[in-house]
Amino acid sequence: MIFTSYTYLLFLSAAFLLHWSLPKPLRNPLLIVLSYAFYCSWKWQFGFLLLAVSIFTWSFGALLARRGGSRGLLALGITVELLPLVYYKYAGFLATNATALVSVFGSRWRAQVPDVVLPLGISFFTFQGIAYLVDIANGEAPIRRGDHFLLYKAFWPQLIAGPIIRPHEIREQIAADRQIEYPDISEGAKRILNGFFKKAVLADTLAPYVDGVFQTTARPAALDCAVGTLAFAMQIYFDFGGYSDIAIGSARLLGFRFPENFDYPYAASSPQEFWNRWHMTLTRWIRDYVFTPLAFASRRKPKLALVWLVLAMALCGLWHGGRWTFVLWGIWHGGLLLATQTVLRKLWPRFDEAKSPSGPVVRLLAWATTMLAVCAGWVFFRAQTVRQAGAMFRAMLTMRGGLRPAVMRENGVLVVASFCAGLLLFQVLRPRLQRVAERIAGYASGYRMMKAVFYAGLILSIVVFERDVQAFVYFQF
Amino acid sequence: MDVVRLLLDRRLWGGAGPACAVLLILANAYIARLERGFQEERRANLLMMTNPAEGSVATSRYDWSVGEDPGRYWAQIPDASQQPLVIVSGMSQMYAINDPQPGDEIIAEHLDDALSPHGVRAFGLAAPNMNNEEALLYFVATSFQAQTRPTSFVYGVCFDKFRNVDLRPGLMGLLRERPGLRDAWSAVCASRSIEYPMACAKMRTALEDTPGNGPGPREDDVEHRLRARLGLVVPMIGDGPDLNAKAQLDIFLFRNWLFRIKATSKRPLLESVYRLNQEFLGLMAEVAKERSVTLVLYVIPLNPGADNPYVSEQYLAFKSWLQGFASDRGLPFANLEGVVPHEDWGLSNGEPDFKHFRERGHELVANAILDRFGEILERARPAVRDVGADR
Repeated sequence: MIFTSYTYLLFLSAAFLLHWSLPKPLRNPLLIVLSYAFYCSWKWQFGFLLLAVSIFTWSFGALLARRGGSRGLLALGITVELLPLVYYKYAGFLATNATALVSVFGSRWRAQVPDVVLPLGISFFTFQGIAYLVDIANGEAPIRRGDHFLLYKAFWPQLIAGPIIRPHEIREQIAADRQIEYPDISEGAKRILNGFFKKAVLADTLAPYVDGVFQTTARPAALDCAVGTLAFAMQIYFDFGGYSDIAIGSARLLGFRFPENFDYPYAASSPQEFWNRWHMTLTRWIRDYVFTPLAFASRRKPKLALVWLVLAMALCGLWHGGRWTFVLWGIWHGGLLLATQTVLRKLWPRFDEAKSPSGPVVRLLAWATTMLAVCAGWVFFRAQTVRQAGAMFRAMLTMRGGLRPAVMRENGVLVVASFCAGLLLFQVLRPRLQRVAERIAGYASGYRMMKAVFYAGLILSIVVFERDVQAFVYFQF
Repeated sequence: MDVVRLLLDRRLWGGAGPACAVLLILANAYIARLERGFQEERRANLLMMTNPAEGSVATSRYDWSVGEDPGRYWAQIPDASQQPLVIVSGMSQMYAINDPQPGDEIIAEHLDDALSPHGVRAFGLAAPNMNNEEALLYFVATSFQAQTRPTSFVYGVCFDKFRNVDLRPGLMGLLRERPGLRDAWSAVCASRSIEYPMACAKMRTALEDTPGNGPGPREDDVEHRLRARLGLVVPMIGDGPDLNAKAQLDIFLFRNWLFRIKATSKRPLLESVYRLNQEFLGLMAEVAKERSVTLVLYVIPLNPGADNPYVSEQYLAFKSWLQGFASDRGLPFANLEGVVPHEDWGLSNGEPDFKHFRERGHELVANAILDRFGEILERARPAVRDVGADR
């Protein structure tokens, strides 16, 4: 069941009515049942995997708490948590690379590549499980009630593609007698509508242009590569941002508040700022559960922290899938973060040091170079192979084909350019638009009517421009 | 109950939500009034066909859905195991009639009229802006089994379609719903990936994008049923495709106005897409040889009295390449560029249409095809082994 489908809207409406009509003790069990129904609607067999992983994490967490957070036990727990992920997501990657490695030494041995279907959301619920165990080992109390834990693990708005929720952010909300108020409905509906628009109208419009350029069969010219990469930068933002909006909005309608996942990442003036605005729940997961423990363990050698930074980002890349392109993307961003703290410190001031560099020109330069660097990273991320990424960089650097596209029709170039201009304009005007909105909010009836026209326009554009139900980009991770 | 408490909240009724709902109801009422206009626009659109009445599907001699739902017309393809069959394929020129009159016939129908007395049947499978990947799909789809395997596959090759790739949803549906076709498609790309790497990789992508119908209900079936039901009561949803087409057309016209683009503004070829289309044509020739089907190629007629959007050197190079391609592979080939005189073409947006002629043009093209390839089309073919069995 895809979020941007009528089926999901029907499901959510039924869940909303049932949830708030039932007596309070029945609400959490209802959400568990609905979450499993949601997950099993894709492939029911994997519901058992989710249940098994949940039961393991919950019981192991209890054991870990009883043993005072034993490090050995924690390592065992994390290993078991990772097993399904490694099997389903990385077995092919490992087998292919093992075969390639032994072939270097002349061996003809070939590792069997298992033909498995990746369970939806496995990367997300694995990270969630690891976070739970690590938090317990660090002294946090485990979730005592099994039903609460099952809901924490399976709650559908965050199950497939996050936001990656940490136990302390949701446990009290699960245990509490949740109330629904008008602002929750208003905010939740608004977020869902925004999400639908971002996904169905913006991201899905860009998708065919991106697919055309990044197809392994294509031999794109420099202009195709540049425009295709820009298109992908926007597609993935609108796609994942839209997904996160619908997730946050759906949870809000059921009385839950999720952490934000995006904060206008393309307004960032440094790679560090970008990572504080992009996929924020993953960033802090990597920071808290990978980088910080490594840096803390080697605190007597502070320079090693820079190495851990690159390693953490490489792992962040690998988390997206078993492909070297993802690893390179992570290393690229690790390198950018490293440069932010060392050689390019003056170009990209640290996020917490100075919110804006000295002048508009410097700020513009910082922003432009950040976007250039981030977009270069997207080439690695979207390319099917390292070779393809290399070919695309080569085409751009040698200006292959001049200013003439070889893959994309002129219309595609125009569409992407209009989207870029629109996003840029919105980012520049956003503070002013907010001020204007605050000012006219005083004229209650006029403001209400303006909002109504705006939302009706959004709904109409979604219905008119959506093509068909398209899967979210992040479902593959 | 929380729901009741919420419903009684005055803020709910005083917010933007109810006003938005009223606006949407008004929008729906307005869209419902536009419905007849949409139907008329469809009828006026040269590239679209208005579906014939349900009863006349059985007598159709070409795919009236023009690629939107070819499966619906598949059963109408004359049984090739009973008599020789000619498939006539190509872009909109194959079926679009400028200034249509009742009783007008298209190229495929004229050919069928002329060939039937000789015991040969013809059937049209065309679609607007059809590219070579789509032509290959039609070719594989018809040739992999005895009932639809043509003796000849006549393909009107159009230069500007070498700027397009990808299968349209209707053809992806064909690929999704017919396991035998999937196998045949898969076999073609598996066996020719060395000579035609780009085309075969693209074919594999098409297969990945259209996973076959597995057992049991599919999720999107529920979604499609739900959409269909909602479409009956909510005009905004039911007329969504028409609204989309209208919005796209308005954007297209706005673009043309903004950049002063005309139908004849020069459109240079897209190198990578062009090469891909060349490979697809190469694959068609290979499959034709393998399945003992005669692939007949011709350069489509253009209006001699109208400018066209082609860069002349590129167009000349294309014609020369196509002729060489046909000659190298021993394929029957003709350049029919000038067979329809200027007076038999219509208008498009008030200017001479460079690609779509009146009914007389269809007749002239059919005659030209018969002149050049008549003997080949009337020939029977030796029996070949079946690849699949679904029809």
